[in-house]
Amino acid sequence: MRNAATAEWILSLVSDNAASTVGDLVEESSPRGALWFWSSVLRAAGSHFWRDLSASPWRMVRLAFWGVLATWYFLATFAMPMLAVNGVKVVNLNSALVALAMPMLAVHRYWTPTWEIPFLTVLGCAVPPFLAGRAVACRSNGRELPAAFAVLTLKAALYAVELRLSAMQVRRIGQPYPGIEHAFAVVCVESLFVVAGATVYRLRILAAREEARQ
Amino acid sequence: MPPAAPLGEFEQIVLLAILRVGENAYGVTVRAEIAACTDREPAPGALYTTLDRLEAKGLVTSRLGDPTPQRGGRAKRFFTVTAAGVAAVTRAQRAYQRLLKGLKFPEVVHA
Repeated sequence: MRNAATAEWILSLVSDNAASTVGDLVEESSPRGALWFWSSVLRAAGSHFWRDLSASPWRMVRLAFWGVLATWYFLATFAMPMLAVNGVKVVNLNSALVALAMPMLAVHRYWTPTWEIPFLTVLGCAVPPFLAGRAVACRSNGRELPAAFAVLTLKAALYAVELRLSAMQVRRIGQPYPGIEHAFAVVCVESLFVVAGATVYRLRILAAREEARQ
Repeated sequence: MPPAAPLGEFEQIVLLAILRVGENAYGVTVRAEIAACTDREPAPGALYTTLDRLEAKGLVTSRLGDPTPQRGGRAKRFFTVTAAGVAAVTRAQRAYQRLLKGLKFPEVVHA
């Protein structure tokens, strides 16, 4: 199958000249077949993605930190009213900080099991990462997806550190902690929504450009 | 004026291919010219990212042609080497020639 519109959509996420590139590949793929066409589309998308990611590495690092801070900001603004309403058992300052910065852990440690937990978990994993993905895309200057990828990489690294610290604390005080499966699930779901936020922003920009051109 | 950044090997190849093709230089013809002259077919991703980079450096310019039916109604993006591009590729090639000057390769048989 040579669905050029789909190929153009994929390439448009990382390239400003997706239409002409796909046109070239359509023209060249007549004697070569669909496999060559799709592998070329994916390799071209990969090349553009890597070029954007590696062209200015320090800018990407800055965007990654900014994106993580944005995620925490959105998590805090999202979680604070819920924490206030539901009366979390925050026992000390450290717990309060954990509850604000990492509500998923707070849910496991300090909440009595109620119906809000799955609701808050789902919303907490979806809304703040989506908003953070969109916010980081706004600052990425046309490199929305690579910027989102940089944020995800940093977040995954922070989760790994957090998991390690949690395991040490568990050994010390004997309380249960979410574990690696939970962290992996959270990273996967958050990643999905960070990328979704960045993609939605990118598509909006492309639509606005197309409108301006017409 | 600060000295221009040196060109990579593939950037030189792409610039020379555009110059050789002339007015009809777009992705397909540039790729075909590179394949014909160097016996190696560049990956589409490498070619398009290089063209974008050369355009960002001001060494080539691009313009969109008319949409054609065999391309699913998509326009061709034609490339032209700028004066700065010609100067950069000439400078790079002269550097190669200076390096080669005076060297003898008895084992190489010229066609």
